Amino acid sequence: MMAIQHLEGAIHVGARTSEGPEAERLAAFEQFTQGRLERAYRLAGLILRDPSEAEDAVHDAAVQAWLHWKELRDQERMDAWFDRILVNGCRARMRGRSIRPLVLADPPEAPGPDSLARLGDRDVLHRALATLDADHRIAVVLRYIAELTPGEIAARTGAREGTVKSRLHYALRQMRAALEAAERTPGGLR
Amino acid sequence: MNDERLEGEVRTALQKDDPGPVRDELRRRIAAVPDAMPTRRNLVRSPHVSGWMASLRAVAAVVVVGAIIVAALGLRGSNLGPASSASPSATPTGPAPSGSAATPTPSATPVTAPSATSPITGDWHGLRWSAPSAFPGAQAIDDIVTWNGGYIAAAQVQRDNPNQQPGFWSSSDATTWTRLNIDTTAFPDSQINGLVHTASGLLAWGWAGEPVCSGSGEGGTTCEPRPVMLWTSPDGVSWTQVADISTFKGATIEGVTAGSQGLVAVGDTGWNKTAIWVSATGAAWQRLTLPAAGFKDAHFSSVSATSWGYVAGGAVGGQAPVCCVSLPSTGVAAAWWSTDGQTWTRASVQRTGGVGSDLGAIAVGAQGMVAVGSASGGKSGSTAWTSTDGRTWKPIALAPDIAYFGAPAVSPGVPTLPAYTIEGDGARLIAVGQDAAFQLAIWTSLDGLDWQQLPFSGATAAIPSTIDDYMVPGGLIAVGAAGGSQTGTSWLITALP
Repeated sequence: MMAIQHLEGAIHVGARTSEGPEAERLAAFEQFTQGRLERAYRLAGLILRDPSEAEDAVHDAAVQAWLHWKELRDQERMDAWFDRILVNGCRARMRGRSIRPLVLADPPEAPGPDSLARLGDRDVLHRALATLDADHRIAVVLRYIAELTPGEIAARTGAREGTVKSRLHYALRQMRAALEAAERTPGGLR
Repeated sequence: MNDERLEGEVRTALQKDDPGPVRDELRRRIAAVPDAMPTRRNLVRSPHVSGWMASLRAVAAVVVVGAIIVAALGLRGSNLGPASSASPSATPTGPAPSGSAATPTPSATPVTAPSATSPITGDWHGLRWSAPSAFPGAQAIDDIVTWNGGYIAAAQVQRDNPNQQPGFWSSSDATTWTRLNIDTTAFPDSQINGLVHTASGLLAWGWAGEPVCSGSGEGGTTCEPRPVMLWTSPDGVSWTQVADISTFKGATIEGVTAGSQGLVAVGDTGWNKTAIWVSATGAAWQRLTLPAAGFKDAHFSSVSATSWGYVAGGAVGGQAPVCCVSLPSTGVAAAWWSTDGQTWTRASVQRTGGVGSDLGAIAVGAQGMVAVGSASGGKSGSTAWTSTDGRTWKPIALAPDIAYFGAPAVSPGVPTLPAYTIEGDGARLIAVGQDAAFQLAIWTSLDGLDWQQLPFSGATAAIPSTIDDYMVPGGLIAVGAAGGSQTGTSWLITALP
C-alpha cells in the first residue's frame, strides 16, 4: 500500500522561473550551496579520502537539500542540516567499503622542514586514521577539521553526545596505540 | 606525547587527505541540480487514509502489490497462507547441536524444507512512547535483551580511565534501569558486542584490549585482531569468562545467534579463512570444517536464526583489503543457509550492484527476510535483498529517500524498503529511519515487502531524530539522546493493536 501511495505525489522536472516563490527558492539554494561548497567538499574529501567520491557525495547532498528545501523549518539550522545530509551520505558510502588492517606499503615521504621524527609520527597517524571506521572517522574530521564541539557533532550525526565523546576518545587512543606500536618496532618511526 | 600535542598531530595528519580546491566540474554539477531534479515531491507514507477512497486504494494496493510480488518476484506462492502447524518453533532455545563438529556434507536439498511460518497474533497500528528514562552511568549501549520477565542491557561504563569497562543494567519495565554489581575482573579492558540467549542463561561476546600492531616503514604494518572474548551467565549478574577460546585464536567474529539447534558464530581467522563455530550452551565451542564447495573465497558478515534453522550473509571473492587504503569491497553478495547449524549450503543471490556488493545483516520476519548490504563497493550506497526461504535472495527497491543513484530503481507498484535499519524478531520486521522531513519514523512489515508506517503517541515531545532500537515482546526499546543528555536515554515503545 505504501508503494502505491508513494507514487501519488506529483513529480515534475522544474523549469527555471525568473520570479515568484520558485525563483526565490532557486536563488536561496544557489547562494547556500555556493557559499558552502568549498567546506562541504573538503569535509567529504577528508572523510572519504577520495576526491571523486567526495564530489559525488557533495552532489548527492545538494540534490537532497534541493528536494527537501521547503521542509527545513528552522532556517538558522541550515548549516547543521546540510552537514547532516552530507555526513549521512558519506557514512552510507563508507559502509560498503572493506577496511581491515592487514598490510601497508607506502613510499617514504621526502623530508621537509619538520624533524624526521615528526614526519614519522604523521605518517603513522595518517595510516592509523585511515583504519578508523566510518563513525569514528566522521567524528574525528568534524572535531579536528571542522572544529565542532561534541554537541555540534552529535547534532550532525544523530549520535548521542556521549557517544561522540566516546568515539573521539577511542580514536585518539587508537592513534596513540599506533604511535607506540611504531616506536616499539626495531628502527622506530621512519 | 600529551593529548593536546596528539590532537595537533592528528589535525596535521588529516590534512594529508585534503582533496584540494573544488573543480569547476563540481560547481557546474551543483548549479545544475535544480534543473535536473523534481521541484515537488509529495511522499505519502501514512497508511491511515479515511473514507471510501481509502478503502478503494487499499484494495487496489493489495491487489496490485500482491500481483507484482507474485509475478515479478516469484517468491510468495503458498507461503502467503497461514502458518503451518508442522513448522519448527522459533524459540531460540532448545537441544544442543548433536555430535561433534564433523565435516558437514553439502546438500542441494535441505533435510527440512525451510519456510518462514511463525504465527503472528494481532497486528500493530501505532506506537506509544513512554517518558524518557536514563541509564545511570552508562555510555554507549551495546545490547538489550529480555531476561526473566524484564530486561538486561550491556553498555560501556562512563569513566575517566582509558581502559574499557563494560557494565550491565537490569529493568523490570524498561523505564527504570539499575546498574548491576558485577565482578569486573571478568572483563579486563573488554568491550561487549552483543548478548544472546542460551539454553542455560546468557552469552556475551566481544573482545579485549587494543589491536596488536607490529612493523612499520616500507615493510608495512600488520595488526592482529583484538582477542575474542566470551562470557556466560546463568542470571545476568554472575559472569564467567569462557575458559577455552583457543578455537577463536586470531579470529574476528562477525555475528553470533541463538537458534533451535544451539549457538552459531560466523567470522574468519584471516582473509579467505572463513569460519563457523557452534556451541550448545556457549561454554564450549567447536569450529566446523567447511567444505570447499560453496565456501571458496567466502567472507561472512552476519548470521541470524530462523524458525527452521540459520541464515548467514556475506560475500565471495574479491581482493584482500590493504591496510590504510579505503579500497571498496570487490566481492559479490552471497548468502548461506543451514537447518541444523552444522551443514551449510550456499544460497542463490540475484546480483545487484555486481562486484563490490555485500549481503550484510539479515532480519527475519514471519513471512520473509530482509538483508541490507552494500552495492558497487559502496559507490552506489546500500541495497537490500529479500527472501522467503533463505535459499533464494532477490534485490528489492529502495525508497528514493535512501537510494543513491545506481541503486535499484523504484518502479511503479514495486514495494520499497523504507529505511536501512531493519530489525526482526522472527515474527515481525521493523524499519527505523527518517521521514521526508528528517523526523524519526518506524515502519512494520511481516514480509519485508509491504511496509506500514506506525503513528506515534504518548510522550512524543522529546523523541530524538535517530535511535538504536531493540525489539522486545509487544514493542521496542529505543535508546537515543534527549535534551543533550550525555548519558544514554531509553524509551519503552509499546505497540498498539
